[in-house]
Amino acid sequence: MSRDGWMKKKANVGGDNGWSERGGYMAAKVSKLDEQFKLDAPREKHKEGACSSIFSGVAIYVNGYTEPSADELRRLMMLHGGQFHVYYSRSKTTHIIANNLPNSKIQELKGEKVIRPEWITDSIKAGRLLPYLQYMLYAKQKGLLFPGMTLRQTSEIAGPSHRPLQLNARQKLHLHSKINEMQECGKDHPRLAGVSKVVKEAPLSNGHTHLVNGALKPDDLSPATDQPSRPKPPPPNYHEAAKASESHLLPKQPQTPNQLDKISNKTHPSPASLSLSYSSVRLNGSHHNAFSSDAASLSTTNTAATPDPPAGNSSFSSSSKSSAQLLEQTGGLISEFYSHSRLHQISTWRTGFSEYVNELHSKRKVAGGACFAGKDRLRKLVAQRHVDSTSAAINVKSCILHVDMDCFFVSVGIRHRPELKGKPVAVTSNRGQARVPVRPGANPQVEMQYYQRKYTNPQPGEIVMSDHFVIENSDSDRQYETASLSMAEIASCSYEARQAGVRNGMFFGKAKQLCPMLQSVPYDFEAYKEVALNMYEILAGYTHDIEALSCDEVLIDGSTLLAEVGVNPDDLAKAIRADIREKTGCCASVGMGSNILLARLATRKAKPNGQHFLKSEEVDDFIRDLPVTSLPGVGPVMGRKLAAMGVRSCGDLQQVSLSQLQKKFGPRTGQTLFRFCRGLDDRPVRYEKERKSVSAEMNYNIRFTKVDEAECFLTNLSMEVQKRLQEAGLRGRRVTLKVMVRKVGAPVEPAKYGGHGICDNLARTVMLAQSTDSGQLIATAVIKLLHAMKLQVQDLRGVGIQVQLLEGNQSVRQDCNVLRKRSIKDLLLGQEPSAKSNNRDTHQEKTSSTTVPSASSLPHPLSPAEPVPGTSKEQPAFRQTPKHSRSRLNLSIEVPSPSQVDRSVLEALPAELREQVEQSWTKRDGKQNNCRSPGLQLSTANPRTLLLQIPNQPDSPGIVLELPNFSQVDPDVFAALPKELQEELKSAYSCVTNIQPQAKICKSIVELAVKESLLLLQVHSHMVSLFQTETDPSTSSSHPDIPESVTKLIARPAPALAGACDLTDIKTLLREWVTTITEPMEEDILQVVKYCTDLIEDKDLERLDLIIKYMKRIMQQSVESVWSMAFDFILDNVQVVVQQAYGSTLKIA
Amino acid sequence: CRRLTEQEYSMVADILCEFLEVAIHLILYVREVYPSGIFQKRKKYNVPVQMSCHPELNQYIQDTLHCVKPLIEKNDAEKVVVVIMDKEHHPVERFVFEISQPPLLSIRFSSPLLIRNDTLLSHVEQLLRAFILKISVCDAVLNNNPPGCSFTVLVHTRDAATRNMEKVQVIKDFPWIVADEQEVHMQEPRLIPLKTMTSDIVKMQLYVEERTQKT
Repeated sequence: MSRDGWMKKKANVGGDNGWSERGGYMAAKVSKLDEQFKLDAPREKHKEGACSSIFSGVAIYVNGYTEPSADELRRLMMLHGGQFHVYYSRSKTTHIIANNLPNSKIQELKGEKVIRPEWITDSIKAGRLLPYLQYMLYAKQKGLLFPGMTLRQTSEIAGPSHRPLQLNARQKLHLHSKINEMQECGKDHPRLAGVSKVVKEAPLSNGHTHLVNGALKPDDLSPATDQPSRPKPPPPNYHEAAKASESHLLPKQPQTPNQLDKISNKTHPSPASLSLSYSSVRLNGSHHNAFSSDAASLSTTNTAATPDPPAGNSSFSSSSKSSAQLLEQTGGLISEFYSHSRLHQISTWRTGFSEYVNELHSKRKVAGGACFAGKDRLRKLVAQRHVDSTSAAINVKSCILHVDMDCFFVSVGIRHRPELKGKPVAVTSNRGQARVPVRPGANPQVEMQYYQRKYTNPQPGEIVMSDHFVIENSDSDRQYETASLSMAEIASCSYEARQAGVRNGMFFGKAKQLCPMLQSVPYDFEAYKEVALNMYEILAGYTHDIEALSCDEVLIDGSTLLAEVGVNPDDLAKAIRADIREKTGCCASVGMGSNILLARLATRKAKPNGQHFLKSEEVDDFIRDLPVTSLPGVGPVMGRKLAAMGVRSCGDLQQVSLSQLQKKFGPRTGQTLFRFCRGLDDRPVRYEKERKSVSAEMNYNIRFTKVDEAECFLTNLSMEVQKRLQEAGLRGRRVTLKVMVRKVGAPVEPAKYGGHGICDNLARTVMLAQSTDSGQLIATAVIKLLHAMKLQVQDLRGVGIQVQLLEGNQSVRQDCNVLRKRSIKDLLLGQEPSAKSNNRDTHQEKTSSTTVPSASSLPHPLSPAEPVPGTSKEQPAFRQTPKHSRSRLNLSIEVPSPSQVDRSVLEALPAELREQVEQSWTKRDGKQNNCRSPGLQLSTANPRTLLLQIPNQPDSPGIVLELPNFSQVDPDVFAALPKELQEELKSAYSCVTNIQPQAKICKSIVELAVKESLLLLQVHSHMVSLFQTETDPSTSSSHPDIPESVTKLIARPAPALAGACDLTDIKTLLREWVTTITEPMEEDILQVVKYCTDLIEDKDLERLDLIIKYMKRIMQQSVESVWSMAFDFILDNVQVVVQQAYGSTLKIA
Repeated sequence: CRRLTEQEYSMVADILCEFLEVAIHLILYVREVYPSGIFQKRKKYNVPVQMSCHPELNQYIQDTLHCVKPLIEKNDAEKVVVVIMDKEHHPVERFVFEISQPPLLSIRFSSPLLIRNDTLLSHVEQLLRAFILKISVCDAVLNNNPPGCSFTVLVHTRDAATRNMEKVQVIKDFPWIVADEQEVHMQEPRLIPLKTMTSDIVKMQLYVEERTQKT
């Protein structure tokens, strides 16, 4: 080609290049390539022989180098009915195949499905299209959902047939409408709805008023009914109809029972139809309805709901009713839910028992003394023994007893069924059948694999294809088997079952495979209550130094009792165990040791049905061989981390230095590990615990269709929170909205009916202007948060509201305690599940989350519903991480020792702060004062709010008074001030930046905190940093008592983050922070901001730059979007400070 | 704990001025303020550096630093800034050498003689070498400058040092003048930290402020 020609051609590009009639050159080329592909395909197929249409509808685009090569992939797509695009087209290409992608491409392809080529090869191996979820190249692929895509994907999994996706979606929607309609019939024509008694019976027995979403006109009825008189409406109508049924209340039209019959007949007998499997799972779902009724009606539902078609219908309607329930405008739904959820009750029992112990103490104070039946008996025993022999009682300095019932649920369940004793028994909601049918839309394997991967591979970023998946996928028979296994969790199993390899929390189906003899026992909540109550009463007969751990687990501080009575621990344990055995018919094991840790460890050895006293001289030998995972607080994640360090036993752990542990796990956890592996534990037995937060969560059966519904639900949930706050006599300021959102690409319908499936956990926090217990205020706050999160309400799977920063009116609480004077019996037995007791929720757990347990373990035998593995495992993590980080932070407070602190300064501090200082002193001394005066106790309730008021405190006049905004300070004037004054002003400003938001709104802070929630983060103020400024005499120049020369002489310490100065240490710290915690605490974030600010002040921009870059890298990589937000917040803050100091902002690449 | 003696300060000033000279030459080369033809490769701090062989330019730099030195000696210079300006004399880049006292005058050497300690000097030299290396690669993090740039050196002084500076002219007819606002102010500056050093005798950091829109 001549040069000229080339130029000509180039010149033509802008105008007509001869290709215009074919839509331009590229379009022509693409279509030509497609043609070629189509032509080649049959030839390839012919050559190969084996071909299929696995990939029909799939169009791939290969990006970059892949294994197998693009050519090979092209060939495979030809063979198996797919399409191969040489050029990427956003509209036509369905999947992008890549082994790895550069960052820029990742950005470019945001929201697209980028999948590893193994997906294709594995799909071919499996002979069907596998879900791409676990083949996604980047786990974090946020973006818009393509509901259609997902639907198709799931349908392909549900059945081998390749239905057009539209139909599937339609069918589902259509089904929905049918439900409504049927329900409508049942309601309007109770007499006519003779198809099934239960249709009306189930709802009526519960007394639920169910709101009907809408009714369909008979004309919109499904084609499935095949009524000759009714013409089949065109497809779009279904869609509209379904929509209409959800959004409008159409005039109800009476229907003949005949019609209804038709529907039920049509839906049920066709086994292959999607609607059947759908309904059959809905059948399982009826437990929601069932468990909400009380025991009496429970049995009726049992008998009624046999899996014949009418019953299927009934549960059909009742389940749809339960979803309608969710949306019910009337309040009380949520509280009803809570009052019906028995597992929730069990979880609240602990608090109930704690309260009981509290009450015992207050009673004793009032009465001056109490009778200890057990103690008296023990005394007699001792006296008797003194007659028998002259063996002197061994004097034990301190002795903790850990009483734990042996497989509580089982032993209670079989105590009146002696025939089951000695047999493998498991308590589960399953009735004994190990298999259940699979619902469409549900894909248990995907979830299974997701969780498996999650637990075997803690790093979400890296995805390792384990052989396991391949095997499971290629063996479709086996896979179907596992799919249909019952997913009812085993709550507890007997020792015989444990020997066969059955474990608590295992799915029943799997357990049955392991141990075919396994018998299942239903839940018996009344009995649990009774036995637990008995046990507590027995123990209270010995001593009141009891800490309730759960309904079947108690810690007793036996030190005083033993000294008083003069028995040795073994005798005490023997007496307690005999008592429990006699009165409850169940066995308990007792572990004893000089501290809580040892007592707990000893219990392991004591089980089953025994007792063990871990003597201090045996401790070393005993603990050395224990695996680290047996230590409390060492879960699988930490266990893996330790294993990576080569630490498996406690003995190994003893070899690791404290500093190493602290570096790896943070100061607090490191210290704890260091101590625990040596058998050291200084936690006291506490019969009273402070409440930190009040919350209500539901992650079961959350399916919203519209924003209004979600809002309404949030309002109701807020009212539940209000109820709890009021009952506890508390008000809170910080409101957190937690939501679980269906993970992109996860099946729309989780394996467990009504469960949440694979989710992303998100949380947003808002700070209210003042503490409140008003549900309305909370509701408006959380609704705003929800909107700010910009989520698809359809994808919400769980919602929770948590209120923190509680300000108790302690007086009210105490009054309650005195006035109530209820015995634990009232407390527990007075709680009929159906009765709405006002007292009930006073005794909620103090932990942050009160999750409505998923229905897995609900007592209804009709519910072999599969629990999602995540429910039990994820939740604790959810609730522990923030605590963990907070406590770690607390430890980093450096408080000068008592002798170094000016008493008058301390006195001038607000009570809160003083208390903090004093507490840290006592902690340092290794002593915990158990009986703090109530006044002081109260003060811990909310340290931060009061800290904020420091400048207004009249009794601390030395502190900053009126300061102009920092932005208003003329730098020249500032520079002209003497150095001392500059120092003072600087420190004052550093205080003010923390305090200001409440005192008066600081402009710069408002500017910086663009996002509302972030602003509130700022408002929270940083307790730790503020605390440091206020109490550390060396840095705080605002106290008049401290000679200013001190400030000058003592050099400013190098900036440090949680004690770490070295860059690598800080990096490790940050990495640990980001990788181990899903949701950063404000304190931590602010600590980091403070560190960065220190760096700026220290004129170490280079390090600042490195750290910012590092954080950018790790935080923006994190799966949780909270982390990117955290980074933005940190960066915003840092930029403001840099701007102030240098007049320019950092360039962030 | 003690402050540096006068003698030590002059030591520090010597070291710093020597370094600044090298750094300025290198900046002019790396940022292409002058054609690369006028630069020659030399060795300083054991690394190759570029030095101009244009006598007038060299003289200017030397004179400037000569005047900076007394300020450093008195610890009056807070920042020494090499400003690169476009044709309109608006700054496009500012190389800021921020000089401050070491955080804690090391208790290690209580005797002034120890400052001549070879290990100390070689340590400082290592740190300065790192600066030089950073400067020579800083074009990677900076955007290209528009053609026709010139440069100037500014000193930010502490306290009331300016009055003294006006009184005393170190070099005749080479006085300090107060910088124009135009020369100091930069629109939408972005800050790029290059290097920070902390040694026993001096603490210094170098960062670049860059105008967002250079052309």
